[in-house]
Amino acid sequence: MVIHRLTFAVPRGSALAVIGPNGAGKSVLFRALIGALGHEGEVRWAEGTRIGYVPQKLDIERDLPLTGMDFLGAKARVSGAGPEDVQHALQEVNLPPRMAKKPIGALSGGQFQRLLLAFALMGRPNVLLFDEPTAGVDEPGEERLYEMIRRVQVEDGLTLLLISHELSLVYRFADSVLCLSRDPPCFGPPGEILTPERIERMYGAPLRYHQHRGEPTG
Amino acid sequence: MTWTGIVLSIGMAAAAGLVGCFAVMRRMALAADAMSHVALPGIGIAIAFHVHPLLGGVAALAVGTALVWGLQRRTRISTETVIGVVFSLALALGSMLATGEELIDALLGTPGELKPWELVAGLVGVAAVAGFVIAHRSQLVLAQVSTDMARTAGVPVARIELLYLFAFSLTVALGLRYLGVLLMGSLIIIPAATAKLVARSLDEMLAVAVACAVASTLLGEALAVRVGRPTGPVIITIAAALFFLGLPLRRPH
Amino acid sequence: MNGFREFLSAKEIWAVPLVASVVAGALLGALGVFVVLRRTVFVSAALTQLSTVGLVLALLVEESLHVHSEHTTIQLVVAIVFSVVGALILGAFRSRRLPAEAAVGGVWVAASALVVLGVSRLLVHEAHDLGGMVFGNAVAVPPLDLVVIAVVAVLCALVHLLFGKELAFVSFDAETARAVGMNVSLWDGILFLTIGLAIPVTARALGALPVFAFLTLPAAAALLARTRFRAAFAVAAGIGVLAAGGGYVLSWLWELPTGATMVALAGLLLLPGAVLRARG
Repeated sequence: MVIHRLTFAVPRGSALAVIGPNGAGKSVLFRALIGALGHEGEVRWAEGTRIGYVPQKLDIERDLPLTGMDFLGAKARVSGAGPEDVQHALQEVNLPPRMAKKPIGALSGGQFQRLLLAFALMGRPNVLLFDEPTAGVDEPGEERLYEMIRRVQVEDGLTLLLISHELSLVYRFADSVLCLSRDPPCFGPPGEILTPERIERMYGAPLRYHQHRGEPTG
Repeated sequence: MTWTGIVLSIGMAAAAGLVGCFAVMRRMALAADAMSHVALPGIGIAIAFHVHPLLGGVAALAVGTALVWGLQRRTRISTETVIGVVFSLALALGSMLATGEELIDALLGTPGELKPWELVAGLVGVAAVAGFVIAHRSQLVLAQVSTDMARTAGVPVARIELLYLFAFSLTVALGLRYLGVLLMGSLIIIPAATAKLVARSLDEMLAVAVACAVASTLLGEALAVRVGRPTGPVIITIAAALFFLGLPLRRPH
Repeated sequence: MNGFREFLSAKEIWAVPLVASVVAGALLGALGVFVVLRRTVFVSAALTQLSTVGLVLALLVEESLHVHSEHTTIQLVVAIVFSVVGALILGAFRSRRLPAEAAVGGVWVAASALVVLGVSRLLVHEAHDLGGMVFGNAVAVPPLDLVVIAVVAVLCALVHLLFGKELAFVSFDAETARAVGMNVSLWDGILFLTIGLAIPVTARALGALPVFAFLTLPAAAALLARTRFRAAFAVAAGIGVLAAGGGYVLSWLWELPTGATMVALAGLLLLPGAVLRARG
């Protein structure tokens, strides 16, 4: 058993950030939410919930002779969607069809991330679980990615659950924060949770932290 | 070799190429090859009871793969350890049951006469494997790349994995007479590995793997007759040569 | 079927091979704990195949040079070289995040194919024993082999007794070990050096398949029974001893192939662990 005594609720249409040190069980939580792992206790989704899931891209083998279209097309075939759904998903993430026809190994980190997001968006989900969107992406790319995720969330009316290490971005984009660490989990709005003491206790190391016009940078 | 034997070998090679693609995708190359050895005790038992060796081989493979699939789901033990356990026990059991000449035959392959019913059964098997892989390639590729993403797409992951394992076992059985237990796994893995190097899309990978497997088999059979050696080793040597030829042609990374 | 009395009276014949098998069983069983827990079962499979490839290659070269030697030392050395180099490359020096299963799988497939190709060449010309190489030849073990096995076993035991903590630390929490300043590559290298050495040396007595089986089954049994880490080594070694020794004796009494009997017994010893697990 990895996570104990966890209770939280996420309002529809809001964004929840899940933070915590490595190994605290953030990815495990997501996998339990999509039904990939067993759990004790109750997971209740609103009626008509469709979940889109974007795993950590580092977990996926990319040196394969697969194109983005193979990938999206496979989901289309399995879920009964049509080619227009594939096109729509690609447009939403700003991935040109030309790039989608290349083998996935030829895509950059950011492009591959967008492909994975397109995959999740294809089923027109209303809940999106996003595991470490900015791992392996450079700083300007991170910002763009978060802007895009925010835009998609607003356009599609998604409820967003997001695992991230980028505390400053979490502060800006999240409506509430869930922290998982060795201590019992805590849950609340960013201003309340992202205090220096809590962060130090969670990550075991002090972060240089100062509030700059209401936003922590650290 | 008779032309019926050759026809069946083409089908068998095509099946091997198709099935192999998904084994190398998840980098389960070694697992796949090891599992092919599990046929041995089945062959031994079959010989002991004067039943057709291939039936025993297929049965053992089916049991073995179901065992591995079941054990890795139920216990905490990692898949490769489970496979290692089943593999060792199967080979030990097999070596106790099949001895001497029959053992060597089972290990290395025995062409011999192909009876009409064997040809028909073999072609049905080939059709079943090829049909399954081609029809379900979307589900298979999603399950191999990321089981979680496959699950969210609606792929019945556990079932497709089990069906794939059976398709794999059937393919191994199809190839036993041409390559034997020890080398059949290599025919499944090596052409697919070559395809993984050079192909640029899923359908291209399947096509290249089938082409390499069939080419190796036909050339191997022809060459083996010329140099007077068993077909299995020659086929695999050609398949390996194709792999090395593919290395400089690999897709830019 | 031989009687137990006859068996006891033939002590000169089986004393050396039995002791060699028992020592090998203990050594491999204990090393297997690392192999199984580090999820490197496939690596050990590839290594047993590599060791056999070395052996086959040495035999092929001797045959083509028309040297029919009883100098099995050279064959052993070649096998050791192959196995140790393979162990270091596949075991110690590969990236941890995504274990390079392509490399391990590739080596296994290549080595297996090479063994078969090599042996099929040998079979045509010489009466060399494919069965013996793969399944074991524990019946006839020259005293020198026993000495070699014993020396390697003592060496490995020393290394693991002295450096057990470091090896465990590096194996199961490499990130922290690195952060604390330990040379992870060095310790990985030492661990796989012991494994790479143990394999060819014991394979001469037990055969390639039983060696692989003993690196897998006893540790798997200890794992099934949820033995704690420290105890697991003793348990696995004990199972190795039982399976090897018991298997040897039973193969005599019931006239079964030795290696296969040992493996079957090791497999049976999984059952107590499974039963314990089903209960608890």
